[in-house]
Amino acid sequence: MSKQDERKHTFRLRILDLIGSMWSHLIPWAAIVLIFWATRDIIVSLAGKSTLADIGVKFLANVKISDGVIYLFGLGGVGYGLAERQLRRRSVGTMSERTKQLEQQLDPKRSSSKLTKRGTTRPEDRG
Amino acid sequence: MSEVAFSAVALKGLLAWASLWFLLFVCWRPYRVDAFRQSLFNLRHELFMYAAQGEITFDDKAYRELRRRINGMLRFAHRVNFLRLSFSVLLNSISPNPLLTGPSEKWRKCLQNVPSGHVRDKLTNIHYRMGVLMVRHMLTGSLTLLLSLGIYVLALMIRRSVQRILEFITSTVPGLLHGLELLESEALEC
Repeated sequence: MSKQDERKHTFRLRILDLIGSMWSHLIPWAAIVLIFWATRDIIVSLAGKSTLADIGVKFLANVKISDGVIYLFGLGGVGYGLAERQLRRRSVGTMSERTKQLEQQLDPKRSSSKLTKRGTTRPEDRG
Repeated sequence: MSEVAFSAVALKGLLAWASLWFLLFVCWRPYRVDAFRQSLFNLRHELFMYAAQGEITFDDKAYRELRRRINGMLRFAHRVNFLRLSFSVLLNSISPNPLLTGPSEKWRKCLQNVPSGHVRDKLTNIHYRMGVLMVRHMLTGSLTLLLSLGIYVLALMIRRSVQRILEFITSTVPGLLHGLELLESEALEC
């Protein structure tokens, strides 16, 4: 394969990469836009008519104890999940180094996944 | 409903959607990638242990290539999605890209050079299971793909059920088989 062909094919791969990563980033942002678009009319119709404090007080006043328990349960669940994720990543960070050392004793040319020590994507590979 | 009460309900709705967004894109999405990576780590460990037991040497080209492929998938697991797969297949069918097909040919050649049949089977199996993991990862991440699969499975089940019902009718309805034979004979006589 000539250098020109190689450049052409590499360029195509980059385009493919760009489309893929744009799509991955587009979906969450599109969801945010959709949420605001769906509630836009309400926000616009209420602009200047009632203050945020009024709405906040009314919102809190409407929250029943049973609702509060449900909110707390949801928030607690998410918080617990995120804390567990942090704990797992810290454990991976501690244990992966030991595994690497042991494996290198048998396979000195051992290749790596090039992830971070915590098993997450490196910042330069994001995108 | 007063204006303020209406706003409070709207705020509640907005909060609910925002929470769902957070759950989907901040919690579930990274979890899927982490789970996919964990399965790949397990597979890579299985390959390592297979070599450690002396079934294949750590310097064998096929071993090194398969490990390199798993490592590549581990590194770019966050980029594996159905859209990328579709575009890769589409672009490669329009204009074949040697940078995409080359590594697969290299892997096949490495595999062919493995002298032992059972080692070749084991490496093929690990590589195949990596493919299955990729498919599972793509399926759980794409609503379109999940719905399509659901429709396909439903259609398949209906088809099989209808087939079984027809088989049941043919074998159990008295005199039906005899009648069918008569029809066949009439067709031959005509």
